[in-house]
Amino acid sequence: MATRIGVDIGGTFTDLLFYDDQTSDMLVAKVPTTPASPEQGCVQAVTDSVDGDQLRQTQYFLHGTTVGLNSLLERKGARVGLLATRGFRDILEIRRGDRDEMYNLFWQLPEPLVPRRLRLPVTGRVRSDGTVHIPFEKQDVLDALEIFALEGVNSIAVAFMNAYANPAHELAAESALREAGFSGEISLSHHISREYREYERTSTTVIDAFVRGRMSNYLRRLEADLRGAGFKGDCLITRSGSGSMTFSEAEDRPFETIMSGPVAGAEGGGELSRQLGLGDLITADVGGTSFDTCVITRGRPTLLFEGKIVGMPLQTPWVDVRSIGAGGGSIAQVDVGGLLRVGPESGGADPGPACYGKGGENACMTDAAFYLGMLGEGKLASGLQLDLALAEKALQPLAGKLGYGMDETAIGIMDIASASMADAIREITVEQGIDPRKLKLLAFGGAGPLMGTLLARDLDITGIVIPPHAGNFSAWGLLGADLTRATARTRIMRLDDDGLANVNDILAEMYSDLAARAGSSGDGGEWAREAGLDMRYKGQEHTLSINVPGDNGRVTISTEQVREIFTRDYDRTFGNTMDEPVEIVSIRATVRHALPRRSEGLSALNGSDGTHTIREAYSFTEKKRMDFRILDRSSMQAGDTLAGPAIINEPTATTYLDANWACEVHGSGCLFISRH
Amino acid sequence: MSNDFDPFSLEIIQNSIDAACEEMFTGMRQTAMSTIIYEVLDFGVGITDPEGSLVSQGAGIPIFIGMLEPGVKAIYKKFKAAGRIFPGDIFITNDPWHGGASHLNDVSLLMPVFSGDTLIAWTANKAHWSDIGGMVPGSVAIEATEVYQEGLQFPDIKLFERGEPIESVIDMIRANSRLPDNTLGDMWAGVASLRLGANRLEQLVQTYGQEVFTEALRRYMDYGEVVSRQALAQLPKGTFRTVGDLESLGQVKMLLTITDDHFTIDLRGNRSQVNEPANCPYAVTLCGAKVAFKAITDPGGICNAGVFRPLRLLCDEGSLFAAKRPAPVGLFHEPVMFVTDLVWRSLADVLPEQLTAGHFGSVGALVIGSIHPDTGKPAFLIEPEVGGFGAGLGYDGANAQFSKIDGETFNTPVELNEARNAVFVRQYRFNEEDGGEGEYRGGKGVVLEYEIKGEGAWTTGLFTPNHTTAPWSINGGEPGSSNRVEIIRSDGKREILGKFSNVPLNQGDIIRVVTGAGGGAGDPLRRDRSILESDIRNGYVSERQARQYYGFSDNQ
Repeated sequence: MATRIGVDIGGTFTDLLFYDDQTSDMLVAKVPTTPASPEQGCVQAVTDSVDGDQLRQTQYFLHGTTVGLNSLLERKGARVGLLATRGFRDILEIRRGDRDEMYNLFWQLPEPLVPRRLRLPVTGRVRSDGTVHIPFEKQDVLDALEIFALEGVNSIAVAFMNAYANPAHELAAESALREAGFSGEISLSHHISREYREYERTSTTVIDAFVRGRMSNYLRRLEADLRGAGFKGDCLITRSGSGSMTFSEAEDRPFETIMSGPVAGAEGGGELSRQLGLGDLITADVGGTSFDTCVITRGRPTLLFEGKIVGMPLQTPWVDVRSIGAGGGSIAQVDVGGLLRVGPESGGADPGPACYGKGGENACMTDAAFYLGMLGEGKLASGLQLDLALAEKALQPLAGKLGYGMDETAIGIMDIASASMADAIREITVEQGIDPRKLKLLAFGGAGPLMGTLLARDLDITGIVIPPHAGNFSAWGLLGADLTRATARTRIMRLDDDGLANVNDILAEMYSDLAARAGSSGDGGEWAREAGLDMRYKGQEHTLSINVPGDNGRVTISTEQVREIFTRDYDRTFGNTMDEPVEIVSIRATVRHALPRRSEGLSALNGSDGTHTIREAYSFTEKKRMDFRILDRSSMQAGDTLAGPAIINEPTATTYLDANWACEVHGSGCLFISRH
Repeated sequence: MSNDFDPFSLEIIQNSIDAACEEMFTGMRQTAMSTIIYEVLDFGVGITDPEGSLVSQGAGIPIFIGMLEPGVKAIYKKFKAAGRIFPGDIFITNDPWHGGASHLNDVSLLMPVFSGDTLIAWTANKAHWSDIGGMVPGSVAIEATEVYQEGLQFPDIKLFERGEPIESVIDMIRANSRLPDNTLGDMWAGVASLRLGANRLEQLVQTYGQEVFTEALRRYMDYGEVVSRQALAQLPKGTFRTVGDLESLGQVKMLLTITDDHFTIDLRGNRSQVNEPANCPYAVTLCGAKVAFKAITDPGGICNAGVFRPLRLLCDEGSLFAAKRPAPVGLFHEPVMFVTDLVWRSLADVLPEQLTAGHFGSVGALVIGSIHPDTGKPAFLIEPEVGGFGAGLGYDGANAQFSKIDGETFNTPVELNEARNAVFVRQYRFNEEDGGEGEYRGGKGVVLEYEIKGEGAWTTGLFTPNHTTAPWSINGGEPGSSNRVEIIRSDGKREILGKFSNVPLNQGDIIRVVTGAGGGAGDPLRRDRSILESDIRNGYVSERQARQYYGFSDNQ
């Protein structure tokens, strides 16, 4: 009883995956992304592929989007004004005083999201213990609002000193703004974080204000359109720190969704690794515009406790996915120095690569791949037939400028694209001391299976996994995202029996706060409660987070047992322990509503006859054009093996299996590729 | 033979060593007990080869570049011949003449790493200990005339033997520090950090074998040398003479000679060491030379012993830059930073298109101690401050950065200082006073005001050399502005200071830190008018300043 739809919006394509719980059937679709109003492409994908009855019976719509991320990267968001405590408006620009590159004495700081003239002071000061030192001055807010109005500010961030300890002045500022008739968006720093460190909290608040309007408009339009099409279930969106939240929560806490898009594939990688016991993985998600990669260890993507986008910190959990501008639509060009470059500019979906025949004249990675025969006959899921003559025409000028032959030019484009993706993978593995050769590569996204054996060659990796519906795997990852809500509260106290009793009282409050966050989105069902404590030895500043085993979110173990867990984890993390008393610093509460489990693994594609054809394509292993077997993925049964060179077609992606590589079809439908 | 090594394994080992440094750095930060370590990050970590050549240095403070190196070398020399280096040992030193430290507060911990019985590397860190005894709280005394007055000395000794702490040494630390809990907490953080790094290195040797590991270290350092030599080839060749004024310490002259093979800094012929704590032992001056060399040759790249092979430093024994024991060294920052700036300045004349005007030029070290009114325990604020960087031809200077000899340093959040360090912060904003006007503006300094909440408070600070000398400009820009500290008493009396120690304070007194703007580049009259208008709207330039320096009039 948990039929669901996952829709992942990428830079080029919007991918859909529909899972029918009763039949375990899956249905996939891919439509061009509509950047001006991404919800249109999204709803179109839904209505085109899922019929009205099915949609009415669907329980969950799970969504991953780069709307928030792009808004930051392109600096296209609200015009934000910042209300700051008088004397502290420059906090956002002073930052922490650090240089990103410590020996670089020419380093330039990134432009702050709010210019100085829109960072305005408000009288009023709270002390660190929460008491009021200087009363709040409402007139300052009204004066600021006049300036904001003249400057066209439509979103206001409020970040006052020590608001983590007492939010009264922030709340008073919000009322003053509303009473004065301000109808735009307001972000209050204490809603975002109840932890100290004013710069990080201010930065997160400003980011929230910057993306808030755009995100909530987008989510509202999308939900309205889905309702209009007959959908009655819950709308969920993935969080930057894994798990998902309802749309209404996301409208309230948009800063938690910045990494929503790239995280879906990483989450899917984690789930697949756990289900099939694949061990540690590197994900290689190659779409039309970008390449995203993440390391999966012990079945989970790497999680950080603070994120950063173009130098701006966000105080929120963060799945460590790295992105570069390289994908099927990446444009190849010869730069002023006479060198061939691929990306980061992309032809997108429209006009897209030249071979799409939509008027694109730039040679893209897809043109090179098709010219080399790596895409077989070039029939795409959308019914589009790639045009070889157009690919050739686009590649010709490049070959001319470089003085290369046509094949050489196309090979160069593929090699350069692969090398830059391999560099990104090295950055997240080798630089952390992880040997990528010992990991498997999970390749997905529209162009991931095309790049798999090339990337493995560049990284000396011997095992590749291609999931079924590889082009829409991120959407599959969405379907498994549990609904989660988390909150933390700083309350420093000794670890003793009284302290633990206090913890339980505070936890009770926190769970009721979390329940209130649900708002009107109506999410009945079972919510599992999890409690965590951030602890330290007295005198330290930084803390260690431990999960406390308990009974439905209450701490039921003894003080001694809590101390034992802390001591054990501390010793494991830092290699020693101390005799100092232990303090509790923050209490963390998480509620998790697991979506009903899907049947294990992915269902294989339906069979077709085993016919195949032969076509010439370029082999990077043999360094020449040679005959490749072309076949349909749906013709392959569990247990089948296939030796390269071969090209395997499925509706959402094409797997290029170079010579000297072989593949086996696993019971789950995954292709396990290994070096001969 | 060397061709037998798989280049990919070598690269992974090298990157893993860098990653191990990061892990040591994080481990230390996470377990430390003083803000100077866990927020400000006034500490450094590194990994050396068995004989003490630096292989990799973690994030932190550039001025600590290679400072760990001579520390390991001194200990290796003292203990190796006697066969007294064992697995599980940890050594401690703060001897500025052996290079294990810059002043006595900077304490190095060093741990040998073994594979079986073979010494394969060292993990090392040094951190600013808040108080190690001596004549004043915080140990840095402006009145000191001998190093003996500056605190407890650890002359290359053992702190742990075969994994067991030597309790008598720990007892001595406890007895000599005014902040024994913090100090020992920070010591344990250092120990944890060393062990994290050592574990990581042992795993690497297990995975790849000792021979490959050793080869990876050797090649990594060779690679560092190649990078430096390539950069050297791009620099102008010749000898460049510069003279600068180090305020009360008089003039300093420098000859910089760049050839295809060497980058030689000659500080010979300068004044002899002084009876105040502004002396640099040679090993400390060398660190300042390394910061300048690194910034000019390869600011983004790797940092190990190979990188510095082309660098030469010449100083007279017994001079300010190669002071002999028992000269006091507590405020070594001043001459070291000056050396860094002199190198920069001498090349700025030759390469005006590449180098910038002068920066605010001070570590801006501020210490405030008191007894916390709520807990009755010592409260201790210690931090460097940010200021403006110089403009270059084509870009404005950066606002509010730590000095050139600091790098991955962070200010202490206001909210944290208020919660723990018995101060109330009245403001923290850009300094809008004159300075650094130009076609390209110098970066802004800051104004930061602390109101004293604790009892029995005192303060120590170092805001020189620029409290009377402003950062230089280039190509017709205006000089930057100077740094100062004002103490505003509750009765309204005001003292203006640059270098001070142990100044008594009462509850309610205010310490106002004002750091300078960097120097400007190019004639201010040439500043782009639309950019100037935006400066005025945003308050980076006042209307008065616009008229006075930029020839701005409203009807333009």
